[in-house]
Amino acid sequence: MEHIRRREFLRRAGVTAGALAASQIMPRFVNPRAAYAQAQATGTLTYGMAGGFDTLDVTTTTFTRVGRIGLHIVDPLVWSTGAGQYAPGLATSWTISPDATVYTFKLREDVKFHDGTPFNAEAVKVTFDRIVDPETRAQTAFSFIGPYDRTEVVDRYTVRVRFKSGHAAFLNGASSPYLGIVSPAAVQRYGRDFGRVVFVGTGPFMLQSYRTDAEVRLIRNPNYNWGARIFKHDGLPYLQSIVYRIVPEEATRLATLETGESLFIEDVPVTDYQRLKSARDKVLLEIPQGGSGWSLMMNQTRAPMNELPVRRAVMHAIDKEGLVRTVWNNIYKAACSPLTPVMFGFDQETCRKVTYNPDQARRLLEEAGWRAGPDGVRVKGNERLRLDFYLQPTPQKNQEMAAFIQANLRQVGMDVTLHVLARAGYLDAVRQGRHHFQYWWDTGTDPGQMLRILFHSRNAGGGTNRNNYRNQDMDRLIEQIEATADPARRKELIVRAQQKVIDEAVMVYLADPPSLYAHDRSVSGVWVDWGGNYPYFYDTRIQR
Amino acid sequence: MLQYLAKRLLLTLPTLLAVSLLVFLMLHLVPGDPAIIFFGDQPVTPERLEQVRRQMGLHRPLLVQYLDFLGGAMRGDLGRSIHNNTPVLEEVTSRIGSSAQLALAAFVVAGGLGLSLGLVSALRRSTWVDAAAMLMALGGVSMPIFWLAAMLIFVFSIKLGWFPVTGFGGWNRLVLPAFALGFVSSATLARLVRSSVLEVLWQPYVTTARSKGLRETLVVRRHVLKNALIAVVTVMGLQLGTLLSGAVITETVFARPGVGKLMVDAISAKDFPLVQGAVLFVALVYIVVNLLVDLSYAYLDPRIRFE
Repeated sequence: MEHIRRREFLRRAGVTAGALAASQIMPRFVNPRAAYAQAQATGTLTYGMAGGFDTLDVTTTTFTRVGRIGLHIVDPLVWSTGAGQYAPGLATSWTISPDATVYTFKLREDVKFHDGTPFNAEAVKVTFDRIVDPETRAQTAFSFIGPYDRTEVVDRYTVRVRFKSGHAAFLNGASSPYLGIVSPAAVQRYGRDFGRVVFVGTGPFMLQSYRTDAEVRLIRNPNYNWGARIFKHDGLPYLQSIVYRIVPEEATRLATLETGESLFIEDVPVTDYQRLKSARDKVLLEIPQGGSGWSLMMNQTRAPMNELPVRRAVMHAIDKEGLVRTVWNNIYKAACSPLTPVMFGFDQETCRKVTYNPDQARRLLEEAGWRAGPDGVRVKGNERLRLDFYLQPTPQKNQEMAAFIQANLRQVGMDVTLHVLARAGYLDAVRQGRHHFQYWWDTGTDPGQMLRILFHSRNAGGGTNRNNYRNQDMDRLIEQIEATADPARRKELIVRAQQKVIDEAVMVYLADPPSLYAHDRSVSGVWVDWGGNYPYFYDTRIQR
Repeated sequence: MLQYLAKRLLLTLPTLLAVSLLVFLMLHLVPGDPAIIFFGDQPVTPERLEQVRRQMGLHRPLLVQYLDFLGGAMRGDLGRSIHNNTPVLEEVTSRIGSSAQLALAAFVVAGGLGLSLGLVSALRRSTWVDAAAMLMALGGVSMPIFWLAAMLIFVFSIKLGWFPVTGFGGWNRLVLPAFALGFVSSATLARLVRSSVLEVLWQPYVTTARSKGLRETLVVRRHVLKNALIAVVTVMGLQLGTLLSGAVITETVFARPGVGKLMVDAISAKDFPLVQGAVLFVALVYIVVNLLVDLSYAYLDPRIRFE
């Protein structure tokens, strides 16, 4: 009897406790959606970010994602409103010397950093000097600031930036988040913790908290009333806060958008493009990317890539239309030039020059002495036409494109071996020039900078020009582009550079991507720069 | 007992030393220059590359680098990440909370599910209950964790809206990842529990206990389970270690920061100090868990005494 009673007691106690627990817990079970709704109502934008990063300091980072966040915390001197077009930011006006070596900026006088210190010419000088200080180890900012010489404080609100040689792209750099102005007082005070724990600028949002690999919380700057003229208002931002959450897995990121956990996500996978486009409660943002699309570098220091006919044959043998259809569902567009079509100076002619023509490719190879061997692979003397393609395993599309290219080249008698290596091994191989082929893809908004990265001989031999293309005329052309401020003349030079690299078949241009973002329909007023890299939420509202 | 504990704790030192040396050597033997990886696809001049190499301290002889690391570690300073300058200790400790939370929750799921499934199927051997339980275990063993995780998200977050998809903090963010991770480990455990219990069930002492008129539940609890648990506890200990440091996929899918993910990222960036620090932490976890497992033997089997 005793046993049964105890058991009965326990059972009843269990049921009661269970019911109690359930009654306490169940509301929370259903809570998530209510919680998201509440967050929306208080003006919190949740942003699903595709990966982590190194620091929050725009000066030292190597990550575009840091620029995306940082643009809300710092203000740039100028804003870029279109290819080669600029509008006032922290600078109200500016003059440029004809040789593009001296830039003089008049600054706003009513701006304060988040730490209360005033923004002035000295702050600009400190920010720029810090970029070139070797101790800072700046990278993205370092390449944007180019041949920087020094900054002079003319008076409290006038600043003069000098360059060792012409730097026509400086306004483009100054419009990027990476040259945004940081608080000298905070840099001084926090030292190594600057960017890691604190980050102080003059922007519409302030850093509230940062958990590495997890989330960044921004809160609105209560003193902000210096919004740039290009936006719809100039007072406080409408949003109370922005929470950037790092969600590396594509499917998970999309799931957070569907549940309302994120209101905005980046890097939408092409496989979900159609679904989001037709979803009634979501909005898909599709912005053609500025910079250089997906392309193939051909290492000229490794035979037979030093032979122009072989490079030309590769160019004609790859079916780009088929590639973008098969791999990218036609969401990416077949590419023509080292610059994407939205770039200043993009040359439409290039599209007519590089056509898919396998017969032409075969003819070129025949003429160059590469005869078809017994197994279909061409030979010249004792040498087989065997080519090494080095690539990284992620993103997955890397491998899909490579397989497509391999099949295309096989059609004309080239035997391509794919070497799929993790980052460390890959970089070792291509920097040492062990490859025939490797991919390239880069975002940016300045054509001169793109061309220098890809084709200048200073970047050959282990740098970014892994075509190892060395051509003095090209070097001079790039330097001229960089030193020419006059738009018409600049455009002419950029067109000439594009035609030259196509005539010499330096690279093969595969596919031009769009930047894909998606957000909930309740979100409105998102501004994205014309290069497609920086969604900016100053004008953004959430309306249910 | 205390003496035994002291001896075991003392033995951790050479273990940690060996681990750190091994990791150090492996990192330096594998190709890939951290400075080059640091710059990746960014333009850089050879001078600047050399400069960064110096800042990272990679120009010093290997032995000096290792001794420096050891010296620092003795003083509790694991150095700074060569990529972003954060103190290694801070990088690791900032993720321990999230990792530990997930590991413990998953451990509870794994233990609870594994023990009960295994036990039930052993006791109801060759019935449909047994078949169902083992089918579930088979599912757990063969199901890729990322698939299970995706399905859980689809059903419980998107369709039912019960749990948030991602993140940490708040127990309801823990349920899905803990279940995904725990279910997969519970499967191995269930199979092991089943076979151990079956083995013990036929032992003479169990028959004795039954014939003495003990209630079946007591027979199972006192005689069967306790004896069957020795093998199980060993495996559970190892699993706890793996859950703490190797939950990379779960952490990635559910977007949780964690030691496993930290370590994988650090290895691919060849961030020497960070890898060292993270691996030392993992080694320490395994050592401690193993010690706990060994101690639990004494409780489970009174014949085992540590002298």
